[in-house]
Amino acid sequence: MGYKIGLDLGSTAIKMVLVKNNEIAWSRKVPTAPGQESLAMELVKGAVSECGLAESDIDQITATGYGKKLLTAAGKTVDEISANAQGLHWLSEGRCRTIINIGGQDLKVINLNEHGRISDFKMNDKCAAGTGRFFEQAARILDTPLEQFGEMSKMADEPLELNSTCVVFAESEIVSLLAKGVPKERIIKGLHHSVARRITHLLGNRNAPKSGDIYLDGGPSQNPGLLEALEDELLLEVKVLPNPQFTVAFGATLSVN
Amino acid sequence: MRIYQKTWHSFSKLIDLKRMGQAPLIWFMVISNSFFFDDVEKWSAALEKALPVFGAREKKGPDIFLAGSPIFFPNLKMLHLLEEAGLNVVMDDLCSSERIFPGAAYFDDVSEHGLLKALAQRYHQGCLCPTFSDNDRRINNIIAPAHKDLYQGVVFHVLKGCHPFDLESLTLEARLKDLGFKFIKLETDYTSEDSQTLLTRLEAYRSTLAN
Repeated sequence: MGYKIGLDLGSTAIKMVLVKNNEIAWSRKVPTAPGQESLAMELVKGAVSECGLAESDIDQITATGYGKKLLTAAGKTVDEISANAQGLHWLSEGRCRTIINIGGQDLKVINLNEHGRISDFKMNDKCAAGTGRFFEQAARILDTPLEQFGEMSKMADEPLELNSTCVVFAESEIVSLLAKGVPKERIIKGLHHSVARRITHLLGNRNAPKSGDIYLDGGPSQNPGLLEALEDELLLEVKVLPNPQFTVAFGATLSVN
Repeated sequence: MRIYQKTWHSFSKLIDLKRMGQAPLIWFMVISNSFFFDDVEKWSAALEKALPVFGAREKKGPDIFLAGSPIFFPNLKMLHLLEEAGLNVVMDDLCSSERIFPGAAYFDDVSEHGLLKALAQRYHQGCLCPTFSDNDRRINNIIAPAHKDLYQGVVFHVLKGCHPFDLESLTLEARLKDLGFKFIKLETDYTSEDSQTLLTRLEAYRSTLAN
């Protein structure tokens, strides 16, 4: 009894948390594939089994993310922006005022007031530039695992100025840079800085943080090279909580609507 | 002109019902769109018959002002999404909706010159689109009701390729946000594939209106 499940059905991954007393007891993610509902229910069964629970111990399943309406077992749904805000507000103990969320196919900037409610937000529009998809494509072209991007970025002195953040055009730009013999480390550092600049532009003057802490979450936030580039561009400290890919799923369990 | 005055009188009653939240958005839009297809007197008579059908409704959510590019039947995607997100459109300035005709032409001078002047004033005052002049008047018409708390936020709809509205959204957003009012711009087209991403934005926008 007293367990809640939060499921974030995203474009790239399905993330699930099992929560008791507003603390994450179990979490897991799987890549998104056709049949999102059955993938999500497999996660639920996995949690119940591994934690030695019965289905009746689950009080509530809340779904969020683009695929939230696919989950018929969900008692509640909440939009991912609100879930993200709720999650970060709780996990930061109320200190968060700006969230930068980098997802598989979108990029969000969310401003919170002192009560943790959303005061404004901005999202990229139908473009994968600067999102997880952009990094995945870059990793494929560079033939380098994404997990190594942070470490490799630190090995470069200067970032390379990339002309395009477009996923399609960046491919040809990276290929031509590699052909010219530019080291991968510099290209990766350049990628980080071009994404960081894009985020800075999205923040603009209006959504730029005026006070309080800035948090980065979503899958790509686990890349220390991106974090460093973002702090360089913003000239502000950016924090990343542990398990940043699960803050939205966790926030969904806090939803009351 | 007298026929249009009568028609405007009927239409303004429908607008009043909309302000009170009693005329559902989709019904209002479909009735407005039908104005383009029917004889004006028949349309007016049909509207008078329809008015008593609209009665008190439970209010769903925050009141908003819908602005931007027109929405024409059968492309009702935005309207469905607004209703699904629980946003109550009480005002709009779409040329396909409330501004299908910007009021009637009123005149004291019944000479040819007087009538022509009244007609010209009516059409110039409309300024339905950023491609016309005096954009400030249209922007002020959107902002003014916010000062009277007649709505909680603006949803600005931009049709892909409709660059005048796209560019104007920057001015309107800056002015509204400088005054502390809420604004969201949604760019879309006639396809349905972006429905979920739009709904996510509208649902999140709704939560900002409650804060």
